[in-house]
Amino acid sequence: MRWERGLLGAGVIALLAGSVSGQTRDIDGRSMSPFQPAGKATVLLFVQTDCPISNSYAPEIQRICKAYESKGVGCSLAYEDVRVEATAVRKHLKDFSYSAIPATIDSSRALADRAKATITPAAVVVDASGAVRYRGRIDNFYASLGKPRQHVTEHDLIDALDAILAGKPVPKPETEALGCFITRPQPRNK
Amino acid sequence: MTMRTRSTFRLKAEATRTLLVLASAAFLIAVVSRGEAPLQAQNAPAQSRVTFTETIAPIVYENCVTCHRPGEAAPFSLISYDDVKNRGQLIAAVTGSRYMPPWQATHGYGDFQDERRLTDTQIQAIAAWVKNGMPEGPKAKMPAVPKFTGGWRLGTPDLVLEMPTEFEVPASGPDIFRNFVIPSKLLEDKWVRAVEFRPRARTVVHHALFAYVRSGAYASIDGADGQPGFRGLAPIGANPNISPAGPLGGWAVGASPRFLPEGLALPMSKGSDFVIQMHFHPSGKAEREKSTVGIYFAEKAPDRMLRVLQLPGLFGIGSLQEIAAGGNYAMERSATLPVDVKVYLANPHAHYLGKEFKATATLPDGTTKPLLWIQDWDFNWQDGYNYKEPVLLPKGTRLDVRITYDNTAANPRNPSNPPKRVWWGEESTDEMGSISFGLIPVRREDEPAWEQFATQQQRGTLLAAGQNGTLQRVAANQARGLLAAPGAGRGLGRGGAAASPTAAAAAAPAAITSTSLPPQVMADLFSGFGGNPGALQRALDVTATTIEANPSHAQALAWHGAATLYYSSTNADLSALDRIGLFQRATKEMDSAVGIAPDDIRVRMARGVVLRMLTPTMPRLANVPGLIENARLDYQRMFELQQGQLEKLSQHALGELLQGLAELNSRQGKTSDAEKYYGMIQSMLKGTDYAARAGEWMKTKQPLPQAQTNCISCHTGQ
Repeated sequence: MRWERGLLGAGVIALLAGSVSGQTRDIDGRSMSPFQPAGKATVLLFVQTDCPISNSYAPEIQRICKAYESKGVGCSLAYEDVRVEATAVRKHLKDFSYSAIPATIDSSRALADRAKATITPAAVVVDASGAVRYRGRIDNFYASLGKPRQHVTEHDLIDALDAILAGKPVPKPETEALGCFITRPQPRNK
Repeated sequence: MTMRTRSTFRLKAEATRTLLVLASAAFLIAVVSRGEAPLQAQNAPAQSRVTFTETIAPIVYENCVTCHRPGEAAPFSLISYDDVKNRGQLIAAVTGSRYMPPWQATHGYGDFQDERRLTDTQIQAIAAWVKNGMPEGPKAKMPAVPKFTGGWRLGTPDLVLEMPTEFEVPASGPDIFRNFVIPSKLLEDKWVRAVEFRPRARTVVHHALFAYVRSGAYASIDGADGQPGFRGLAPIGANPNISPAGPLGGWAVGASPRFLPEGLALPMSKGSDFVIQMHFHPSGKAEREKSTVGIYFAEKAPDRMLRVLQLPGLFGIGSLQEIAAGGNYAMERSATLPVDVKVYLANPHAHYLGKEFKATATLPDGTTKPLLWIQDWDFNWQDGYNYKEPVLLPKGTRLDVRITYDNTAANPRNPSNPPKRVWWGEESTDEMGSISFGLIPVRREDEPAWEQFATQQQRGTLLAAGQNGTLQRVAANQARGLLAAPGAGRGLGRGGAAASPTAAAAAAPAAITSTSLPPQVMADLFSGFGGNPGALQRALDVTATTIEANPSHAQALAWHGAATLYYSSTNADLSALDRIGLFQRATKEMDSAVGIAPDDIRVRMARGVVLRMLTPTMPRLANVPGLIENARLDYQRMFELQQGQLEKLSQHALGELLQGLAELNSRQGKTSDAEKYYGMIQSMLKGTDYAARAGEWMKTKQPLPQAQTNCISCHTGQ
């Protein structure tokens, strides 16, 4: 559809402009600067409305964000669906009880590109200086697709946050996230 | 029946859960580069021409959309071009690793119905299509979207049952195993050809197993924790005292409902409760489940019964030994077929540590037939495997089953971290292991031979389970579980879930009483032993009621236990595990009674008599020597308690006492003690049958053939 492509193109341009500063707007139009934390760090969480692994992490994401809020860590959700509207994201936020976390629709992939995120769910942690200190999985609950562990044995995101808060190097700054691919917008191919 | 699920023929329910790493970049490259090689299958289009409408849509429609469509279990729809294109990379990765479509059995090792599998050519086509930018292709070539009927897939059911209330599945947390009870209100016994299952919250319902149980069998635990149903992955029917009961199949994500083959059907009793055991997998979002089942009946009883051969028997109870913490373990079991059989299905079962299943048939001429091979068992895919064509195996064929376990920390499915030592058991942290083969003897006249073979197999399994200590461990675990179970303290009466009063008795030693039961109870009991079921039931009811009022009533415990043991040993309708369960309860009740009142002759008499009577005919039960020793101790204590007044006893009482003591000593090989008591009989009971029997023993000093206790002829209360 021509108008659809036009709209997508306009969005790409607008968001590319935004990505220079890493600024964007949440679904309610408020300004979001996940790469310039107001506190000690920001966790940027890449999610999708229809990725089962991403969805299964909703309670854990909320638990971590709540636990670290008082320590000066902020969280933001970036929706990486191929196409999704604000109403669908609002419904998803409500269904999965994400009430306190600002969310944006990263339709241009500007945030994903800047954070080098390729999978949902994935977490990227930016420290107060704006440096990316952690990128990867939230924990090791999934040993592989379809193979959940009975016990999580590595809490990589929490370990990264604890290290940053303690002024120490992050033990594993990069881990492999497991879940759904973040697809980049591409022209329809006949 | 969803014959797909192994549960269909789970004996468990009669009486008692490779994937490859997400393709790394390297793997994807490998797939893609293979895709660049010329595709070899004759119909495969050249990769540059792979388009959605021409090549990909037919693959997806045939293999994926059964689940990947709106309202179904799988997470996203794959109906439209955009749907598939948006997931292209993921589809290429998960098909390349063969994580999707999900199918655990190794291709080619057994030829199964509904095998969910893509060919190498199809996988390569998907990879090539994704690599080339996922072109749509000519719209005119787009195949029709498959039609899915919204209603029952097997037609209008004969009986539709729905969960009475919704069950809330939380957003997160461990997987949930929960059982739901639905009264069937059936007015007559029926034969079930199929059960079609319709879950509502499809994103969280992973699989379901079905069974019927006697009405009210689970009434005391159903809803006891404030939510509908009751928890547990212990197979439905695991508890004793729920007969009549039996398995009725199952359902797993992606399974197609089917009728049983060859007009076979499973029994379902009138008035019974239908039980669904569901496995829920929390999705991140709270859901409410209220499932519906459609049941399809046969018009009449089938003329043949589907037989089950389990290897190893009874889910490995006699074969599975200790699985060391941090170690690997293998269990092997073979059986040689006594008659020609046709095998219809193979249903594997293990818990989380199970790793590899392999079953092979070696025919008498030395040729082999592959039956089933699962290389990376996943408890979450509770599939059964139905052969496309029944596998014909002639008499003399040897079946070999090998099951391995991975109890290392490197196994992500290990329920214990760090790993723990594991034994056979029903909890998710225990293990089991078997393959159940559903079969029928080719010739009807071979049915008795099969029956005999099956009985021998089961007897061997239970004997082994007793010898390797598993039965004793299971009994101890059950006793611990019962301490916490709601309704503990209820006896084996009519209706009501049974729970051992042992725990209650042990917990309340201060309330020890040994008031006497009415004499009629003892008369009823002996009459019951003599073959009067009405009298036995009366004795069970009176003692159960007494125990309910006073859980530490020693005589009631002892006599209830004795009656239960007799019932469990002589009731041919009981399944093997029901029998074990009742046996365990009965011995515990009697042992606990002796603990409470060691010097109560009637307590000692109940245990001593029933053990003495039943041990010779119950070789299949565990720890027979221990039971004989208990019986001897009981007779010994009765003797001690009455020493000095033996002369005052009736001829019958004295004869039974001395004969029992002599016989038990003889059976234990204590010949000099036996001789002492047989000597007393000869001197004190001259001219009686007891003396004649003692004389007979004196000739060989070997245990005599089972001496029927004469109490039965004296106590004939109706």
